[in-house]
Amino acid sequence: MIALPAVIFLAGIIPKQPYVAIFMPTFQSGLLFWALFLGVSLFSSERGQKGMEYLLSLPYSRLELLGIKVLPRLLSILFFYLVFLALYYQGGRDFVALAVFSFSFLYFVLFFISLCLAPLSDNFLVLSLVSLFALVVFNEIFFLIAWLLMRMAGITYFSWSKISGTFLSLEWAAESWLSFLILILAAIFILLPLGLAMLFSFKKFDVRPSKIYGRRYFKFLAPSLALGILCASLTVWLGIDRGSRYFYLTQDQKLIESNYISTKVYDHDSVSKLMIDFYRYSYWDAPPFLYFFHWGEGLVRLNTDTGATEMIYQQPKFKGKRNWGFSGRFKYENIISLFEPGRAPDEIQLVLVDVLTKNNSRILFKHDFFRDSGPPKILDTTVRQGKRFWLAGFSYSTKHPLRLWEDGRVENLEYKEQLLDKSSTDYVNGMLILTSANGMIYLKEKDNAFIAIKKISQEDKYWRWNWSRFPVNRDSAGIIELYGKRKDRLVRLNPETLEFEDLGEWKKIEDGYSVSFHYLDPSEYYYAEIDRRGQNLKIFRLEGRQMMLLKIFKDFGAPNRDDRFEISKGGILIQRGKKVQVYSLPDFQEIKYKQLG
Amino acid sequence: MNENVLEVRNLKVRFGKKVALGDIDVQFRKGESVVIAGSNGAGKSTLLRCLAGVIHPDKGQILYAKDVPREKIAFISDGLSLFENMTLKQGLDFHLRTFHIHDPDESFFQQLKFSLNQKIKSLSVGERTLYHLSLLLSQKPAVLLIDEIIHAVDPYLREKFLEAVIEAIDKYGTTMITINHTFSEIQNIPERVLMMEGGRFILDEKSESLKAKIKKVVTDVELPAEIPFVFKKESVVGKEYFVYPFQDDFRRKYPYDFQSLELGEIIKALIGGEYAKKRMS
Repeated sequence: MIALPAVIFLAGIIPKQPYVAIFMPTFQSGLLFWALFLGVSLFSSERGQKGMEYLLSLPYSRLELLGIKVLPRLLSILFFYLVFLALYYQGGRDFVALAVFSFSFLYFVLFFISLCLAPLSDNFLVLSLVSLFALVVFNEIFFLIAWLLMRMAGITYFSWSKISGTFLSLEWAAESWLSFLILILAAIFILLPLGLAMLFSFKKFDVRPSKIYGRRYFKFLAPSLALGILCASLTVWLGIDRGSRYFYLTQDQKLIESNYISTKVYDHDSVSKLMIDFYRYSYWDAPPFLYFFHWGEGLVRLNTDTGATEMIYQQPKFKGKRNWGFSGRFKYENIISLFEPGRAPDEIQLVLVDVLTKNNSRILFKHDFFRDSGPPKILDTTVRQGKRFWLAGFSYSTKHPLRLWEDGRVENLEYKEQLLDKSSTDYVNGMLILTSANGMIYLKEKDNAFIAIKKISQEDKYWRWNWSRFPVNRDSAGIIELYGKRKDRLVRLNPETLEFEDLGEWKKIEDGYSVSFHYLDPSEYYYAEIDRRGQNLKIFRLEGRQMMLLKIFKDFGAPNRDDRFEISKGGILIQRGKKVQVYSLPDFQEIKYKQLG
Repeated sequence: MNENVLEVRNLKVRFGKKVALGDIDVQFRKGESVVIAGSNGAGKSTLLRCLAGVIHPDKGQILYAKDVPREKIAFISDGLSLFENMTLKQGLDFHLRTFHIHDPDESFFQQLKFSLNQKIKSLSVGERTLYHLSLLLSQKPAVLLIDEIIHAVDPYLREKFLEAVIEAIDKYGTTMITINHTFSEIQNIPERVLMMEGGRFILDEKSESLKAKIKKVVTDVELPAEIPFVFKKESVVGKEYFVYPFQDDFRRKYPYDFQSLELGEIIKALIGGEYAKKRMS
């Protein structure tokens, strides 16, 4: 485990990588092999030395023998796990191949499975393969339980890839201790039968052919596994339905509560429960519809008045190609636009979905920039000389923005300014903004070409750290104002003069603050400041260079409590632990939902 | 359990569909020396492994006397199973530690001329047998279970081996249960003979009683139907009949020479008889 990355590093097989970047993934792989080896080799030493009869004639019960054999292995597994954790927290965190939670899960599960199966055969290779197969079966059972439950619950827009991806990333488990506990419990219920069957059958373990032991083992395993799967199903069912709750406030002030299996729509006096899942952060609303995108499936909308769902755009299957999902969508008029891969590597397709008619059309574009690239981002769209075009930019790239015409033409928007290092392109207030590690350039269109109107050096960089807080519903309305941090000050970039205007002190994280900007539409901007030491949340309205304190919410951001808030066109949603409150804007009147509890 | 050191009740062991031991019942007395005989596959080794705890019976009970803890049960298998990557010294230390032997009898060990630093796997089969036996005798065993292993030892060491076993029986009142086909050297040791076939006992006799009950007759003619025999074989001198059970009346009624037999010959005849039965069926 130590020698292999050293060889790779010294031989320069993977150049330009620090040693730790090679070491950590190799170490993780090595530990997984180690877990497998320690498990399946439980009796290989005795078998190799022809000492099995001698071992079993020792004055110990079978369970004592098992304990004697397992204990040092368990200690070894724990020791190396602690070594891994130490390395992880001492600089290896950014270089692991598997996230720490997934790795830990896999490491211990693999050890346990291989240990439980070890007495089944004398053949090391067979045992290793059977253990790996059992691990796959375990995972599949785990995913299958969740998937079947979703299907049974009537969730139609739920693909296997989604559920396996969700569970594999363990995203939901990381959200809360309850979810974590549920996941661990479900896994234990499926794994426990392996261990129980071993304990029961090992009481009579002897030197007879291993298939006799195997028959006894599976006799115990079959009913206990069935019971375990049943318990795991119940646990997952309860867990998914009662795990973390996420809330979304629609523009017409309906409150949507969702977890991974069901969704509740709260109106002022009523609540309706729908067995539909929404993927967080990827939905938006246009009353009475709530739109969401199902990965690998398509665009779905829910009528929040009637509870009816319909798929308004079904995505094709992208065999061998990456599904870009909905990452580059842009809405204008009644059209949702998004990119999908083309047939050739240098092709992409712009898909236009009309949400009123549910019709869709495609435009194929061909350009070298599309090779080896993720989806471009649609920055804007407009009609010029009777023809529509879409302005598209790339993230973290040296590629220029493109103008994609509805007749399939692709226009490269080259600019004369010295190209920055890899940069991301955005479009704000009619300006192209290129951001890279070296600084920023603001470009404006003049005579059909983009010319630089402002440059900001690296030292004086206007850091748009809050870019992700742009409205989810990216549309042609765009934004005008830019607020952010400049040195230790909170500043506004004057959209006319492009000069910085000071708004006040920048509240630092190390002083216990967490701040964010919220853009609702071109004329409505908010600034929120969480003071973790004072445990309060301040909401400010930003109007030009005016910053007005609107409201202070006390008892917010208590330690060990998952407090959240969201500002949207419907109002402000505040989650303090399990307590959920909604306030309208701009008067901050609390909106009551009778059924919310 | 009276003087019984070990009692077996309704013992049943299967190897898949094959019944290796079928409802065995047997008792062994303290200090008794027993030989278990039988044809291959009769269930002898399976029984011994059950008594040693190496095979877990599917049914039945094996009850040792209360004063016989597992540390006092010594077993040597025909596979001479030990942790052969250990050195002799490591093997000895491990054995003493594991069997909680605080005052080992090292007298037999001292007679071995092996270097204790060599690995067990480097020993010849005969040497390994003696090493293994010396480990077991260091336990001062209450029950000594020996599978068919004596044949692997040369005549000189075999004598040493037997002396040690006899000494242990005398010194510790050890009950010895052994499986053996080669009886030339141990003719006088077993007090009791158990004969197995098809996973069951077909004979359980004291050695002296057995010697009295089985006689050999060599003749060219067929024996009268009144004289039962367990085995008949053709030889250059004529037909050899192994009469069982022999009655003293036979000598008065018939003119045959009823010859007495050594235990080894008796066992051989009984096994031969079982093979003949199998052929007939």
